[in-house]
Amino acid sequence: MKEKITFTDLIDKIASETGATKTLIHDLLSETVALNRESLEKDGHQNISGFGRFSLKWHKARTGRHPQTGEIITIEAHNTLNFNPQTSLKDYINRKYAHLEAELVETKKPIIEKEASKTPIPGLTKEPFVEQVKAPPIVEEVKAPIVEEIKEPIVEEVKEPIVEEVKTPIVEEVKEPIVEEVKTPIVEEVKTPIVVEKETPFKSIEDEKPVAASTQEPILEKEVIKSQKRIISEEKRSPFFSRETKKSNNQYFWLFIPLLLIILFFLFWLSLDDSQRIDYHNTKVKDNNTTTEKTIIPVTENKDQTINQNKPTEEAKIVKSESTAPEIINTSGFPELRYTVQPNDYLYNIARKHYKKESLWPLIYSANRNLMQNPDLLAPPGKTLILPGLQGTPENLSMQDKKDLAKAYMEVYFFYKDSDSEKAVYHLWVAKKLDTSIMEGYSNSIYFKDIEAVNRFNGKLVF
Amino acid sequence: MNQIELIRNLAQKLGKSQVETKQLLDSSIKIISDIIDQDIPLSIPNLGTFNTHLTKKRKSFSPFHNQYFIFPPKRIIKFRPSISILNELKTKKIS
Repeated sequence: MKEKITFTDLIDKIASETGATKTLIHDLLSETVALNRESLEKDGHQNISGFGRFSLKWHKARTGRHPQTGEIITIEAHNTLNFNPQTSLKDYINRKYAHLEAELVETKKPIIEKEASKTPIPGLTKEPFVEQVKAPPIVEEVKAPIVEEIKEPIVEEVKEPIVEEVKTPIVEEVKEPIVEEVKTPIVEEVKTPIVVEKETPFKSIEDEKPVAASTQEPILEKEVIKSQKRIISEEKRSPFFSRETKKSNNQYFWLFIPLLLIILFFLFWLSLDDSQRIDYHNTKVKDNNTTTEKTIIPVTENKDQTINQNKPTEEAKIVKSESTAPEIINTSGFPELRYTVQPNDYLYNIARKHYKKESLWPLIYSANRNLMQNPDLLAPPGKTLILPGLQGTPENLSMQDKKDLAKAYMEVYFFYKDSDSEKAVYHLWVAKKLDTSIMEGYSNSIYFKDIEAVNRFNGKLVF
Repeated sequence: MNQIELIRNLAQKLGKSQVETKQLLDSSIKIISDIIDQDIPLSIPNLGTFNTHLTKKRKSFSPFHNQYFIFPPKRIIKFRPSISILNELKTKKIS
């Protein structure tokens, strides 16, 4: 049995080593445990540096079986408390075993061999490659085609002129070298019969039928060259290579298809005009001209026009649809859009989707005050919200955008000022940061305590 | 709650400076880890019991190396939460 250290023993030990009183150590440990519990209740985890991390894990309700009776029972949803020690503590405990390292187990059939068959890279797998190259199927395969191919044309040629003298040298010459060819390197072997074939038959044939000989000469050459190529290719092809090259070809083929598709799509995209591109991305137009559904409807504004004058290079192009649909104008700024509310949507998420910046959600709130009063509760799904446009971009807001955003934040402040003072002060502070003169216009309706709190508030704002 | 907040709260409750409380906490954690290292079960009321367990060497497959390895023995810390803290946190689902 292991000896066990109780809480009092622990306190005594710590007190003796640190020199502090026992009550202080008792309070320290008990308060630490209490704070740990509070943190677990609030956040679900607590990290103590140098020791470890306590975390809660939620388990859903499930059906189980009683181990003794075998009855099916429902296990209720519950939490489990886990402790993960820090790596420093782990290392400290395992310092005796620190010198030990994981040993590699040598298996009879290494798993790399399987992978080699899958991936056609001969350089990676040494053992299977060498074994397969050693196998001598080349000699058998090479013999047959050479003898047949070379014999056939020669016999035919000899039959037509019916010259006995010609037959003997050809058969001897051809047979002898071919047998040797297979054993010895092929490049040299193939060369010798070619010379003989050219010289002997054509001399005899040229005397009788010069025309026929001239036509047969290239055919013979071609056949011999073909046979050469076959021999070389077959020699190169070991069984290992033959499989791999096929597989690699297949792989490249499958890689080639998506590449081709991408290139085609890119060419198609290049062929489109800018206006068509905008239409393609932003609007979904039905085929019928009478009924057009548009998820996003940009709206023209005078502000946008002024910006267009200032930045002629970024002028938007006007696209006129054939039907009675409204004109779509894409400005250099951020266009005004309409958005249908979906389940589990929040202003914060919508701003993130649309503007790629969450902090612009008050703009949506202020533009849709008729649909919603509480910024925390969004309008019911299916309703359309107006997503106001911007003169600048969400990353670089223009002065007018900042003023609008400040007004929107002020609206949020007015909602929160009676219910949640912390939120209200924060939104007021943001509004002031965006537009320093915003509070002058609302001096009667802002609480004095909030103005003081804003002046004291130190936070970071990134716009 | 991070370490700074923990020390700040502890210092407020103990009536000590944050430096003193940090030193005390660090030294007590060191002593606790020493006790755990000596393979002695340590129980802290309202929290749980810490214990160590020696795992044997085992053969296992490493997917990264694509090979089988024999991993050496090592000691792991086992924590068994107390019933009081479990009952308190059992049904609280934290989002």
